[in-house]
Amino acid sequence: MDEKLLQLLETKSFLQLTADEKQFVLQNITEDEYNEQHSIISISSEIIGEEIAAIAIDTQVFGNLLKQGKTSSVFDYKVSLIKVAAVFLVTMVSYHLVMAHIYNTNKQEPLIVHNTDTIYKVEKIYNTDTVYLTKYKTKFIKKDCNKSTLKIAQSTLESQISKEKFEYYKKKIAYDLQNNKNRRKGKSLSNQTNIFKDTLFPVEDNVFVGLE
Amino acid sequence: MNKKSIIISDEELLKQFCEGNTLAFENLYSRYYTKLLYFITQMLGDTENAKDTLQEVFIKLVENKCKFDFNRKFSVWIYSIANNMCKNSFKHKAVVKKAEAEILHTYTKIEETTTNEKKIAIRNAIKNLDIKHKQVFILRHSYSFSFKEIANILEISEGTVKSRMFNCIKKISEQKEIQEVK
Repeated sequence: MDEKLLQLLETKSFLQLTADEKQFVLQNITEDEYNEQHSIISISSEIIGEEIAAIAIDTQVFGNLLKQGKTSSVFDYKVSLIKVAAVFLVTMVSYHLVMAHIYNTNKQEPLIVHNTDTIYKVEKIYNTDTVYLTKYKTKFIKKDCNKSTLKIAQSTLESQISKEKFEYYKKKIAYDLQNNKNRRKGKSLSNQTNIFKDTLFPVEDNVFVGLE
Repeated sequence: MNKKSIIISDEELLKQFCEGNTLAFENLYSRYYTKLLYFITQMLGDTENAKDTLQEVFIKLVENKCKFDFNRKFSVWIYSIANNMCKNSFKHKAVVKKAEAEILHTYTKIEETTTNEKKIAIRNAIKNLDIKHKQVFILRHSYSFSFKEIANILEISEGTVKSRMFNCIKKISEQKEIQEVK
């Protein structure tokens, strides 16, 4: 049977059918069969409708439904005593562990006092860019300077004299040496040498020359 | 002043209930109580057991009110819940036995009060249908569900629903009592 036939049976009697519908129905069942089945369906629907209408709505139940709906999911489970005990045990152990952890994290480290023999007190801090370490070393050497006696000093200290002074001293030394030559020739410059006494003149890197 | 009555859909009522409107639930309860109780009673046969089952159906509705897929039809959903509840009850043999006893009891009761012979015969024929055919027949004639919707509720194919429907009509018409009334 077709769904269309079912729908016709449910909605129309044979007399109510159109010519096409009748033709369709008669291809499947006879007119009597159609009428019989249509009658059964109609009466069945009527019976079911009547029986449903006869049922009274239980309004007492309604009030409890909302409450029960909220709580039933939690309390309606049937759980064995062993499971309850196991859950309780696990909860207690977990609680203990958590509390122990909280206690340990909150515990403060004790204050430790260190005893020392010497206490250094810093009074002032000096900031310097450069620290110079000065070392002097005196050395007497003989240099070929036409038999004149010269006191020659060497120092690791960098010369701090200006370039002009250096040139000046250089000329003086040259003058002095010339005088020594001149002295050999009979010219005496002994009076003039006093001006260079106790003075060191740089002649080359780290070599200073002074007159005796 | 004309009063216009607006019919709120089941789905809209459920939405309102989900938002906390308990009146919407009361409305749904009134709409479905009798039809569902009839369906469950026909399935289980025991009115008291059916009432308990129906209460469980409504509890499930309350619990899952916001989980409902609003693209679906509410009636199909609630009948599906009812059908599954009935299936669970079928698992208990004692319930089935009680159902059979109840059917006989109802049958006698109706027989006493109804005058129309054909009606009695059809009523009895429906009662005597097996569960699989009866549920299809009741869903079709109590709530006018489409074959597709019945298939969704019972979790069977549409073809099976149609086939069962034709078998129902055939079985009812073949009942001895109806044959005699003819």
